[in-house]
Amino acid sequence: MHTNPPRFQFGELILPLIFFIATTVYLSDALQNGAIFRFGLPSAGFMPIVLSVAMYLALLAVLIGQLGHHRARNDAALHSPKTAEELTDLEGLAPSLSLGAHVAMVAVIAISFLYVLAFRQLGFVLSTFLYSLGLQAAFQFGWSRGVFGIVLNLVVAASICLIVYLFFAVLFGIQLPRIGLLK
Amino acid sequence: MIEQFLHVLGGFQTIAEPAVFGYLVGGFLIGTIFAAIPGLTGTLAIALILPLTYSMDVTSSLVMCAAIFMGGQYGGSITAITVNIPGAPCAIMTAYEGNILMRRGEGAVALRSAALASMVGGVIGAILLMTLAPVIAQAALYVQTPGKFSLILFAFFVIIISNERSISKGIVATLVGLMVATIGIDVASSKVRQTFGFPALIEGIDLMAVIIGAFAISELFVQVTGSSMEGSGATNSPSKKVKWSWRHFLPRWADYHMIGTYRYFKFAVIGYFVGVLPGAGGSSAAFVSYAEAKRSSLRPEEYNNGSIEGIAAAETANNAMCGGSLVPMLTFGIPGDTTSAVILGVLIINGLQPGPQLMTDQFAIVTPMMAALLVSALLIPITLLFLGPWYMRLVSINKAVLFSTIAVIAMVGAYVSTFSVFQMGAALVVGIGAYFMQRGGYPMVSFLLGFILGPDLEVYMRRSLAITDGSPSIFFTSPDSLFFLGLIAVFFYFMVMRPWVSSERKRHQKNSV
Repeated sequence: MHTNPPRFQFGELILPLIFFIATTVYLSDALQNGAIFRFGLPSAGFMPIVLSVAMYLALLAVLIGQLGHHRARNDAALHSPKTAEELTDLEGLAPSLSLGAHVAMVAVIAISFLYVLAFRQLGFVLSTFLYSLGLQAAFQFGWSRGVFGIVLNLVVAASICLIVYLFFAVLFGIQLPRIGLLK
Repeated sequence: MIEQFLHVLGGFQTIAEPAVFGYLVGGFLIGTIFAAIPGLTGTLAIALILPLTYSMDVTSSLVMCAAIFMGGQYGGSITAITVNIPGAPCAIMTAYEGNILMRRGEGAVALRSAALASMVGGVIGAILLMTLAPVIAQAALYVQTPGKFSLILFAFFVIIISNERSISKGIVATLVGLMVATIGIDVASSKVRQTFGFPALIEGIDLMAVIIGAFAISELFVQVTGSSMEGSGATNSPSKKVKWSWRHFLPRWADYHMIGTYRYFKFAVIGYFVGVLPGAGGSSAAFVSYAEAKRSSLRPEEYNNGSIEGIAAAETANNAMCGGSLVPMLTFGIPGDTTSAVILGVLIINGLQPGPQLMTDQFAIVTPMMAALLVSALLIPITLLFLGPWYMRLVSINKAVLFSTIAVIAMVGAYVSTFSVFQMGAALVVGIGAYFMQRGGYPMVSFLLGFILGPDLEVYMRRSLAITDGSPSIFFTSPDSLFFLGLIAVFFYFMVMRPWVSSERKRHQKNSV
């Protein structure tokens, strides 16, 4: 049975490319640390430079390995799509995500960053309540239950706030940020 | 010798007093709960309780600390198995194997095995502490700086080659961890480096933020993407209709027999001796024991696929480490890991000076702590009988509710570890990176080991090179270093070369046929 050869997956090329760019930025910063050796001994810049060189070599090895696996998968796909899938699994690559999954993940990343920014500004209670609501929305919690679902979301978000507050602030006396009005 | 034995017996007598026993049980539960919650650790529990020790007598303080230590080593396995988030770094390998069993509906078996192994490891570690402490401490002193460097290299090597999917990806993940660890202030020269022009990076990335990011936050992404593909209202449990009772968590003889006395003892001895080496800690103990268990296993095909033996190896070793890490702390004032460093603070606060004299003249003061380690290890399977069904319910909670709660606790946990919003952000960034690395098949274990041991590796390397004016020959002439380099060569032969030669031979035969 003839099938289209599988495309490169996310982890195969994009991740090594991201690592390559990050290593180059890291190395350029390391080179600004001054001399690698001072009085014959390694300085603060020595380890980052050694790590960068090792990373380039390791990435090259990853790339060669990926190309080899890709070729093997293409050959296998010509004979049996199932074998190609098994090879993908053996490499530890995760299956592709749906559009909805991508949207949910981007939403969680966005609301988590907003939570970090708002944590001190809005205080623990308000920011955590809103964050919990946002996370439940990303999980589509109670979406099929109409008004009851909305009430359930509010109750769960308030409960999460209360549990976390009781745990950190009451049980262990850790001071959490408070909103300006409550200070 | 007899005097030492009588002191140990006196230690057990002391912890039998109701008030002291109350501190022991309370400490054990606090340690377990703290370690089970991602972002919190047994070390944090002892640190938070440190001010309370001013108002307690020294025996009760030390007994409570020992119980928290033991509970903290065990508790990490609970959420590692049930929700794939190791409560403590030493439970990473447990998460690796245990959560697969959980998803398969065998969570009770995994929890039971982890508890049994923790108990066995804890008991053996405590007995070895009581009997061998002075001798072992002297032997550990022979491992000098070049040897410690080679020991860390050995730990990296073992973890990288245990990732059979791709060794090169394991190396990349380790290097990423090492690189992240270099951000901030250089530990050897106090010079600021790798901040990329951002002053906030001077404080570096906190270990707590990395652990929370790599495990709790990345798991949130895994769950939210999985949930949107499955639909709303999903739970984690493949077996939520099962009514869990205490009987499911009762240790069976078959569980013990499956691993065997010899292997349990071997894992415990590995954990104990890794603990004796200053700076090694529970994570290294679990990693090394797991790798050795895998290398010598009769069932290697079960590894990475829910191996009970893998769980037993990691849990036995990390609990046996408790006893080992107290050896250099008590006899020389050198803590074996972060928790024993905090316990060292408790000793000093109470006017005790760790050193050889403590182990001779004041041995009776520390024996209740040693006895507490042993008794709290025995408490592990007992508490599982009562709390096991509750642990299992963790996964029948609606995913949205459970992971929203975990996300909030993790984010707030990242904040309270340093009271820094920057570390919350760092945890989030690490979480995003970890999620994509996992999707690409890069092992998180290697990343974390690189981050945790990176600073030590650099310090030991630079100190060693300083001895020989920059010549790396010291690593090949120092006997302790040569020993660990030799171990690397042996592991390379048995775990990389031999399987590769054998698979090549098979491929050749297949092609010629």
